[in-house]
Amino acid sequence: MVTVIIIINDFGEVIMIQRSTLLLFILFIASFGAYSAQIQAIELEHDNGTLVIAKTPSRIVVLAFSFVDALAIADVSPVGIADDGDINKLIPSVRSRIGTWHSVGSRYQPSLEAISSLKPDLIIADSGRHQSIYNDLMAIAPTLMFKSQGVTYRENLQIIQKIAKAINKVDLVKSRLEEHSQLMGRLKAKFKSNDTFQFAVISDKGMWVHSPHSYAGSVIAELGLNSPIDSKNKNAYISTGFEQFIKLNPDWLFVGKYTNRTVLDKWKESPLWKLLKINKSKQLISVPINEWSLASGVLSAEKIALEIESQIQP
Amino acid sequence: MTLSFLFPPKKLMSVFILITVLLMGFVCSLYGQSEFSLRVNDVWNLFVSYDKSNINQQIILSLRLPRSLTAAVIGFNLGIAGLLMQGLTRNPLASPTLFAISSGAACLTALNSLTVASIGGLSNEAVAFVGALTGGGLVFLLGGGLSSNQNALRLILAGIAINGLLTSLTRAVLIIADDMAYSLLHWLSGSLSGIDWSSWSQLWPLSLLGLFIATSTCRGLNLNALGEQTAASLGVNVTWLRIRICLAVLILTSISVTVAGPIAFVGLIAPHLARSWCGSNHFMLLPAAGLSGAALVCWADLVSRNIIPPAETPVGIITALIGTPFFIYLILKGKR
Amino acid sequence: MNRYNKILAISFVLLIILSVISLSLGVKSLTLETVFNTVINGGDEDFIINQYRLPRIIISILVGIGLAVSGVLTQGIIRNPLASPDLMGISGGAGLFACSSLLIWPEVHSALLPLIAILGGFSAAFLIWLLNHFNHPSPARLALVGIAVSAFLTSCINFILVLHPVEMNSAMIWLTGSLWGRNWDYIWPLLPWLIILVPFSFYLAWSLDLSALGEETATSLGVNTERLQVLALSSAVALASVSVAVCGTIGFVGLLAPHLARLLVGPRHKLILPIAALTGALLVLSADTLSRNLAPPLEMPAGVLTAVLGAPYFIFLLYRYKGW
Repeated sequence: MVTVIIIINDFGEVIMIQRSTLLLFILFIASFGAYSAQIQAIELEHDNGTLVIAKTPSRIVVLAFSFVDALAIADVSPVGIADDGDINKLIPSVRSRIGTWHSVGSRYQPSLEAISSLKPDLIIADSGRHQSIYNDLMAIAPTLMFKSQGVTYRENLQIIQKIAKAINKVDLVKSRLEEHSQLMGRLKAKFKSNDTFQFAVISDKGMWVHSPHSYAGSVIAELGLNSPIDSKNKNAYISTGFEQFIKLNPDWLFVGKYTNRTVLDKWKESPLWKLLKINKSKQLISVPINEWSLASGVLSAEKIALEIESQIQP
Repeated sequence: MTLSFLFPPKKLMSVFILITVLLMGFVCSLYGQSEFSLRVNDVWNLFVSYDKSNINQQIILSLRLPRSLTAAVIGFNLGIAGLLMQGLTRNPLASPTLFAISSGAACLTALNSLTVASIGGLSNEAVAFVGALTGGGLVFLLGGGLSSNQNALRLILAGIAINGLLTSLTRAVLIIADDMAYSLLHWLSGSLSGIDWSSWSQLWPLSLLGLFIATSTCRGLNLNALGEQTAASLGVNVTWLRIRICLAVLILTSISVTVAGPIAFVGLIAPHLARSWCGSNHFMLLPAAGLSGAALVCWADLVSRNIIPPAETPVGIITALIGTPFFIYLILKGKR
Repeated sequence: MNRYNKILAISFVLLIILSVISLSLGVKSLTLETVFNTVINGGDEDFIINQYRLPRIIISILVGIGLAVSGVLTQGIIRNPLASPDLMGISGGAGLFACSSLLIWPEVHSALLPLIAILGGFSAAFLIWLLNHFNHPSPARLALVGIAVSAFLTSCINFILVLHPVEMNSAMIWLTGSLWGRNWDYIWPLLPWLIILVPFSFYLAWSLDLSALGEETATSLGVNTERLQVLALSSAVALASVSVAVCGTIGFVGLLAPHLARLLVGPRHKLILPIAALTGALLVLSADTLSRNLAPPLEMPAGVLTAVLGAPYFIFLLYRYKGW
């Protein structure tokens, strides 16, 4: 038998004095165990309820680009990504921060076979697109469902924090997000402008402006820049013909092109083009469409903000 | 010879009403539903006292006028093409879509957008046109268009097969394109929002040619309605008639689809509308079907701007939405 | 063995062979031995074979049969080669209801989607029937009303799609028809309908053959044409609705399978029905197998491939057929 003496000193601290190193060892292990049990079993709320994650996942499969961004800023590399079979769909700043991965198919119909053969211990999926396979995914591995398609800047920040909790990188992500908000705050203070800014995707078939309810639009709004769109319009992507565009008449137009020849080339030939502010000021800028429209995350938000900065004050 | 022999008063009245409806639709779409608060005065002033610096007039002249004219002509083309198809196949369910012209144009356009089948350097209009001709040509050849022993059923079946194939390929592209898909989908539902004077200059020459060929088939169609053997015994060269009909349908539909994308349903409804008003003489039916189609598309264009302003709904969706109640009313009223 | 029995046997054998091939091919290809062992005993590949591929294959076959039989019945009544179950508003109604819930109320549980689709299909068919019954009902009239209402519903769908560009992709996939994500849960709603209605359709096939002789002849031979129309079309609507409810609007099968069967074995419905059913099953199964294996792990919706596969074969038959 081993006796343990407990002394409480003047400061109310409990000092344990033991005579057996074995007991010390046992107590040390036990306390360590209790402490790690506390950080390892995490309860996380997501769009399909609550998930309990028993231990820190190491093999993660993600089914949307915004989640890859969230992992990238935490320096975690997923083993599988639904990348539509095209690695170039991930923007360079994300690709450079993660290692190689296996493709699990398209985002709209990821292959359950491919996912299960990677033997993941966590799956992060889009609660919009992948709702119908939630049960199948849960049969493979614990699954988190978050909004990705149509997510806005602020919504995504919340989601990133939850993912950070799931992968046990809360502190790293927190400090990275602080860096990010400092950058955004600095740029917002710098951009004191009353001009209207608009991002649109264009092809030879037409133009779609991205309102403040879309990702790029919400980033622009976060930087304190005005949008020419009526705030009553709650749509994320708005199809815009030439007549409506003349009415919008933004001071700055950022375009992402799907095709080489676009409707803008046709519109420039019209005499009504002279009515537009961007005709005189030449503030019509072409931007990489993957960064502004396809990716949604902290890294792409920073790319957008820096691109705007380089144009406003070259 | 007076015209009253061919055009009994009641039917003349119907045509007159049709033309009025068409004109009203045309004029309304010139100034209706705009962010710039255009007024009918602006339309009047444009034609009477043209003022170059007036923005409203400029908008009507550069954007609205070509658009409404194009809408009317496309409706005209599709209505006539539908009439010809129904006359050729003697099947009231037939329409230009049967010939896989719209789906051919759509498929090639979709593939081109994905740069899968990027036919080097051809403009989008050219791609759509080539697609339309290819689709139509395939159905024609496969359906035994050139053979002397023709069977309407064979043409229909060939159309079903090729149509199904092309539509599925187009859908596949839409799904793969994912983010780009909604720009394609707008065009694929028929869109008049990008029309300008250059589109008009592409449209009218071929439309005129198609109309000319179509008019030459009227007599043959009247006799064809009695059956192929009867028509042949009455002196109609059935093969030559079929070739002319298919050529007219091909030209009229191809150029319409090239300019504004596939506008569905007009080719199906317009002939039925015309038939309910003007009987079964193709000399009368041809202009009636054309005018019905034109009126339908003009009004659809006007409505398409009013549903979810300021955004536009593709006009092809509206033609079906407003055409169907008419169509159903006609079917129920008729004593077939 | 006469020609008909030969074709029947070949189709059946083809179906079995294709099923086995489909079970073994995929992102992870497995040997036939592993396949048989896993089906019987379970094991390492249990998820892939028993939970993922096997239910998909069974659903493909069932849906193919359902749509094909529905097509035969529809064409038997309406007697217009353009007629298909879509004409009765199935795709339009089911599609509209399903897309509305996918796009407008995305919180709806995905297990409810098949039920919503069935409701849509039946409602549209009922509407068409009602409109036709108003005044001088006839099969030809039915077809016209059907095509009008279907086009109307399709436009409504396109309208909703245009209004919701963000979620459009999921809706498009459902509209094209896909077996992705379909598992055992989807088989139990499908099976009872097929077990009851397919044999019933065989029973109706004989009456359909008689009614093809003309209304008066048929009535004099004891066929109640009005009742036949109601029964046949209701069965067609039910079969097509449940099939569409399970995997979306796979369009081409209901139109193509009857024609293919007719080109192979002639116009008698008693002969067409089994061949069409097998053809439909083969078509959907091949489409799904290819969709998983063309460019793994990328998967195409099966509805795209049913046309890409079916149309060339159909064209080949058309070309070869000398009976014009």
